[in-house]
Amino acid sequence: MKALLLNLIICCLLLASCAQKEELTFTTGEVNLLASGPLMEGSNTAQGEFQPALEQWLKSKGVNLADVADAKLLKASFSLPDSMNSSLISEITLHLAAEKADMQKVGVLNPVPEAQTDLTLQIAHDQKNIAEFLRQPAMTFVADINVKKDTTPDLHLKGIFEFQITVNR
Amino acid sequence: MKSIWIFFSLFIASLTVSAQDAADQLIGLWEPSNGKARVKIEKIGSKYYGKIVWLREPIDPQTQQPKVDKNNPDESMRSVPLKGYRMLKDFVQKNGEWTDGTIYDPESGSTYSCVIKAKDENTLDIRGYVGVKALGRTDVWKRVKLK
Repeated sequence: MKALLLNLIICCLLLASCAQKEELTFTTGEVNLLASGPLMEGSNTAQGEFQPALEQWLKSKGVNLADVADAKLLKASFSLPDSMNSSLISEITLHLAAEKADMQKVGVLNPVPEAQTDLTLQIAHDQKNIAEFLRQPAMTFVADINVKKDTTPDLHLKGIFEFQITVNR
Repeated sequence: MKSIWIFFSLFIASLTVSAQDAADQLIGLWEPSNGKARVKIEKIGSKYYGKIVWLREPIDPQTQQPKVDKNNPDESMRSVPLKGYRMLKDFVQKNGEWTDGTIYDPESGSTYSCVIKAKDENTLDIRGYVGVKALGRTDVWKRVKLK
């Protein structure tokens, strides 16, 4: 009986070790972030909600939510409206926030290059439990934007975010 | 009978509104006791977050550049500016205090568990601790009134 149990455990361990890991790329599409004006010189908050619907997306790839082993943000980019360029902005810091996950800083651009309308952030090396955000019904992208001078209109940013999701096959 | 129900509904609604007002009294501009910074606390979703919006000494004397988070354990995030830095994160209101959050000390690069209590509408007790609340330090923050 003991030997049977031992064999069973060994089989389970072998099966587990045989599980293939696969990396999938999940892109959000355009997420609108808004910082309501008037914007003051210094730090302003732009935020945009996003509904990942990860479970559905994974199903389309033939994977279950339970198979997600890890996730991390690979790329974050913003485009500014045509009416403005980046000369107004000195730095951007990006966070992820959600109801049931702790806010996490995931990107920064310091300094923001002058006269650009498309900005790509530097991504944090240390990322923890990013899959937790994607499992939520809704998450919020929060961009802390330091502006160089007071300005009255709202600031609209369009963000595109690319995640790498590691799944067990 | 109908008027009793209307009165009861209004009473419950007023209680809900005043509880929300009490929770949101954390929102605003605050100054720690050392006066080195000012922190704006705002609500995102259902949680409260605070970021540095003003520094008494914004320039790093070593680099002559605006101060950044040079002590961050993650090297890739050391260029994050301290102006705009989110040092209070993920606070939820429970039993008359804001709890379950963290406070970051940019001078050491350390993050501590934190609980916030309002002494009155213009004074906060901010207690940072490791593990148990008893092992911590409390700082008193004052609301900054804008002219």
